[in-house]
Amino acid sequence: MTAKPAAGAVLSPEHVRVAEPDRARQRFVLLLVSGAALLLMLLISLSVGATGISLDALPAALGALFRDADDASRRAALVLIDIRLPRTILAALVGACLAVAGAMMQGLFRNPLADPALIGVSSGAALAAVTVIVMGHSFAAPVVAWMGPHALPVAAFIGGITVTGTLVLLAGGRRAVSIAALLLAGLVIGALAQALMGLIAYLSDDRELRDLTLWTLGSLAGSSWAKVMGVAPFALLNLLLLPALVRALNGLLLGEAEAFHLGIDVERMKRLIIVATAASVAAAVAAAGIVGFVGIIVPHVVRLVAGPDHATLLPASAMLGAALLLAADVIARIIVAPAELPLGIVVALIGAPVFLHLVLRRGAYV
Amino acid sequence: MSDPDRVLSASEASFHIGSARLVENASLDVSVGEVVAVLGPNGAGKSTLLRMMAGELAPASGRIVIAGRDLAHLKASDLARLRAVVAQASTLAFPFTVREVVRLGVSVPGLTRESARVERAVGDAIARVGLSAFSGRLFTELSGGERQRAHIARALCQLTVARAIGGGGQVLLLDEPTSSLDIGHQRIVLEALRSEANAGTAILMVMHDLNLAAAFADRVAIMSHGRIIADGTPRRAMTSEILSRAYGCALSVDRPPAEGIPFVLPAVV
Repeated sequence: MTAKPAAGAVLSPEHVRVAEPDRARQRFVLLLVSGAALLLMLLISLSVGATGISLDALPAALGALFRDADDASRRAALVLIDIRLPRTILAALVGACLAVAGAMMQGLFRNPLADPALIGVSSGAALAAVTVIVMGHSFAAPVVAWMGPHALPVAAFIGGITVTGTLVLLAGGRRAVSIAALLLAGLVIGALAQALMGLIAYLSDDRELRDLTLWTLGSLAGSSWAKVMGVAPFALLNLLLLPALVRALNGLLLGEAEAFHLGIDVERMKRLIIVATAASVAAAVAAAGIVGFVGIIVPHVVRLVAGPDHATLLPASAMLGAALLLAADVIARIIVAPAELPLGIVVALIGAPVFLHLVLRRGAYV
Repeated sequence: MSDPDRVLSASEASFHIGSARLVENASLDVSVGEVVAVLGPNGAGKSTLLRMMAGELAPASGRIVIAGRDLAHLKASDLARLRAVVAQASTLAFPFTVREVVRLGVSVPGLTRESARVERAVGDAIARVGLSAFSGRLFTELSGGERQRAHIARALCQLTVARAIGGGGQVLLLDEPTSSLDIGHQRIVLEALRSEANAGTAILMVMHDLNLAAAFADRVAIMSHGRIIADGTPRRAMTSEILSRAYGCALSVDRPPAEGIPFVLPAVV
């Protein structure tokens, strides 16, 4: 018997039928808009800068790579290919990684406020990276020199995975993570990492101090192809893992026991999610220092539009995060040109009010 | 073990946490098309036994066999094709719609997600628990009873689709599926479960309402202090002596002559 229950007879009249959100269409539109925003910001990022060389110089500049050309074209080629392109790629990677890391942590912890910068993962990665910067000037110089552009990302990865793993242990097995415990633990770990970074800064000389300070404020100044090469493996590791994580992240939203009932190997998937998160935070921190809020704003906006299905959430967050960070970086470059504002400050100035708005609006939720 | 009808069985299964013996040497079989209710007072080990038989907890000793295979050797994904589970209380971190929650039951590896057949199975499962008017609602906005029905629909959908791909969907385990439902919705859910059993699914469920269990279950297993102290049809197992012993208070059992279904009331002092 396929019990066609007499729904009308049992349900009371106030249970009015609600129009089902057309999630398929919402998803399509969202992915399209995110992709368009990303493309637009890529082009703007390539065409805006202190030198006044715009995008229409690109064909001539590319030509200058292969044959003799006038000095202006050579200079344009240098600016576009060696300065703006790596910077644009890094900005996009950092934004995508941070947004995806935020989405994954919120899914893993079943908690809307989980964000790599808020709960100390970025600080842990940054502490490890700062340690490497300072050690690179002293006893560990040969190792750091040998690892070249990979030293910083690898260190940041180790720092990030240590903090994420610690948080998972603190959050405990089957219990739903209490927001208070998670945030407190993250804040404490973040504060500890900041204190240790402060100690390192205190011990460094004036030039190192300025470098470290600017770096922890977040910046993409000094982007280079070497940096792209160092960071790209971690960003790619993360992006390649994403499709395998969609089902697990969706199942985990119901709870760990329920995810297991649905056929998900929970412990294994949790480890994979931690590795993917740490890899993306490591890529972002090694490329740009500490940039907050991207991981919390972007996934929330996507969820508001298209719901929490990670099959949409992860790719849309990646594209929108990249677009957001490109926009912030363009602002950072031009607002006080020829000087630059630290990227982290620009993102925080945009992000803090939006975050506050989300928290107040979603009070019941938290 | 030789009976091919026994699709889920625990033999001498125990579960301990430290020195606490939550379940002790429990043996219980569920056959094809049979509804077995696990009864007993709070803390008797009912949920623990269910979670062991769902594969969620590994028994300290003894073993669980599902569809002829030792549960200890099954991967989570293989297990999900054989059985579905409705846990006791379930929250949702982010607002899926009812339809999306039920569709999660289909996301067992190896199944296509978007095909029309899957969408029909999702819609059918929602209809079977009387939630059709709610399928677009956000799960987080539902009442407790509506959430419970959404989870039952999710489990029914998982079984249906697992059966459609062959050889699966044989066992349904539920922990107090009717506890937060009003009497009308209890009827809807129990009807859906009975039709599922008629289709051949073996159903094991923890229940609190003794009279509902007496009327609905083919067999009851009564637990006390981690042990199964009686196992049989409601008529045979639900005696005032056994129930009073299990619950630690005087209970009187009436047997209206017409149906012979036991009716349990606390004995008034």
